[in-house]
Amino acid sequence: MDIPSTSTTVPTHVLDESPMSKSISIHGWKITTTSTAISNAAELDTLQAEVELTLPEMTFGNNAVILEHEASGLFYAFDARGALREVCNKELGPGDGGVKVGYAEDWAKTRTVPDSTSPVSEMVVAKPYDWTYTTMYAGHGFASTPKWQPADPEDSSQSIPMSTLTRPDPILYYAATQLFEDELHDNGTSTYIVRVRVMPTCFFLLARFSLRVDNVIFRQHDTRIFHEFSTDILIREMAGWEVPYATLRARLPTPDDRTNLTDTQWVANVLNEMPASVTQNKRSGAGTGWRGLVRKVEVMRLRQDA
Amino acid sequence: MPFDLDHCIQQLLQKRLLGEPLVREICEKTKEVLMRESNVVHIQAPVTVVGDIHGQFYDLVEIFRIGGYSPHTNYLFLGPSCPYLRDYVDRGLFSVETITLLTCLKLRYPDRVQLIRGNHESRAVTQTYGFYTECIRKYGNPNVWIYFTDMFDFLTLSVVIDDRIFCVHGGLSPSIHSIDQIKVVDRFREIPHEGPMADLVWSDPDPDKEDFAISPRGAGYTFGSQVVRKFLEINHMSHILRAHQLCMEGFSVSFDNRLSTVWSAPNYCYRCGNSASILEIGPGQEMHFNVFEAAPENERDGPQQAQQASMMKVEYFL
Repeated sequence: MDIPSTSTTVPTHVLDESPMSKSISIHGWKITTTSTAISNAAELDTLQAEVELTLPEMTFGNNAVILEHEASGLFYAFDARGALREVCNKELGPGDGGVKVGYAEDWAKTRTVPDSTSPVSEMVVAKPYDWTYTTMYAGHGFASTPKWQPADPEDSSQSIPMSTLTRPDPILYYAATQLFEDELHDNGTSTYIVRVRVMPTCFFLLARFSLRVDNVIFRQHDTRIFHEFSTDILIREMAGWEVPYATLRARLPTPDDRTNLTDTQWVANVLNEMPASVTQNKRSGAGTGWRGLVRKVEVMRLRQDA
Repeated sequence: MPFDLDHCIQQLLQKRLLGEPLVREICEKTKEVLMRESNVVHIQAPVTVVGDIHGQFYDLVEIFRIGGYSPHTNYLFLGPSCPYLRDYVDRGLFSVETITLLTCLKLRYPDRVQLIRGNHESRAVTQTYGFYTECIRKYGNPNVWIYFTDMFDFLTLSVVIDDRIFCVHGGLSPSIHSIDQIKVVDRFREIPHEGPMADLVWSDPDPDKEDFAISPRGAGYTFGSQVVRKFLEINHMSHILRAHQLCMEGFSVSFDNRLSTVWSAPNYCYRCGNSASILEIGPGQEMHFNVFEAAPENERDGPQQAQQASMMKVEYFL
């Protein structure tokens, strides 16, 4: 197929929309986004048995974004099962960035008061897992999908070109879907949202894990995938941010109104404006030692048909 | 009474706000009613039990359409959970209308409408989420938020139906074995982070466990099958009813039919696509989950549009 040489030429593409899913076929690619109801009880049981942790209260097990490129065998998906498989489901160790709720210490103190009337012989901590659902999930490829390789930092064609993405090209396809959300028992929010847009010359996907633990931390992990149809590489950038809760709270336009803190887009914008030495450094960050505070760029070479 | 409550209820059913002085007076009067209630209110069936509503005004009206209007149907709200919507959508929220309506109903029919305190009937939670902002937007100042959150401090903690069914917002507490222990809790305060009052509004069942367990969050409990069995045995009861947990089906029954969860916010947050239910308990304690879907009015007025717009809005995100 001829690749249009200018950004304003709209290439041939097919859009398909049903109440639950929306897809585009363009330049040998097919991108499908599914957005439907939360999982039912039977689906949750199956998923819970697999990921071995208490699932987020909103688990959208049937939502997904799927990228398909037949010529190269690429089949790449973002779904809740994938995201939750990368949540720590055992005792948290160094690098996992484990945190407790803001009042955990006070809470623990009250528990040490002996309660002789208690019928509970010994109080056990429920099976440990990361209750913040922190995940560095960057999608997952099926067997035939080519492998990601580290990008060459000297080669500018191996990083996501912001100039292309800020250009107001027509958007041929736009979709957003949520994989999970949990309110952490009124201690904040943990959520994973995937958005994708397709322009005449390229497509761009942003998958974002956002976490707010009230009075403790803000954390974010982004995965960006970019492909220019005229090239044979897919570029993937992954990065994590973390700051103490108070740092962002101090940046509220009106200190009494904390609504902005529940807006993941507002949080992302503020994190982006702050220097990386503050937000993306393991020794600064929020001091949790979370291993996600790194930036990584990778490429995938799309094999051509034999 | 110097104001016409029936008229207020009619106004509210049409989603019209009441004036600030009127809300103040209604909250004051309701406090007086609530203050006289025990921490454990005993009522008789028939009664229709409603779980979380989360400020979904039209869905509350739908509940009255399918379950009957007050006072023809007795209602028990397991935590009005109204002043709360967790989204950043800043328009089309009707938490104020929802909680004002429930408050008026409680004041008008104090013996036929019961409101149990839930974890969202608190200052801390409503300030972070939409209710505080919504009050300021609709009234120009935070007074109405203050009136309601002050009133929440007086809501009861539990209800017992026919001496057989124990109703609470969240669940059981390791410091409470007999319901007499609930009666001595000092409830006239903001919900604390710890202790029996916190446990009653926050804890969750864990059918895979037997005992209480501490949540990996570092605070809060889950309770298992032995706990449920023992609590029912000690208190000569047959069933525990609670809200607090979202489920696709709108309700769930666990622990060999010893515990039920009722969820009454269909299509929660206008995007979960879940069913909702109200639990109709007959004179002989027979139970029927009346399952329903989102009210049709949501399609044309309110957060759904805002929500869809914000999720669907074509955006040059980076």
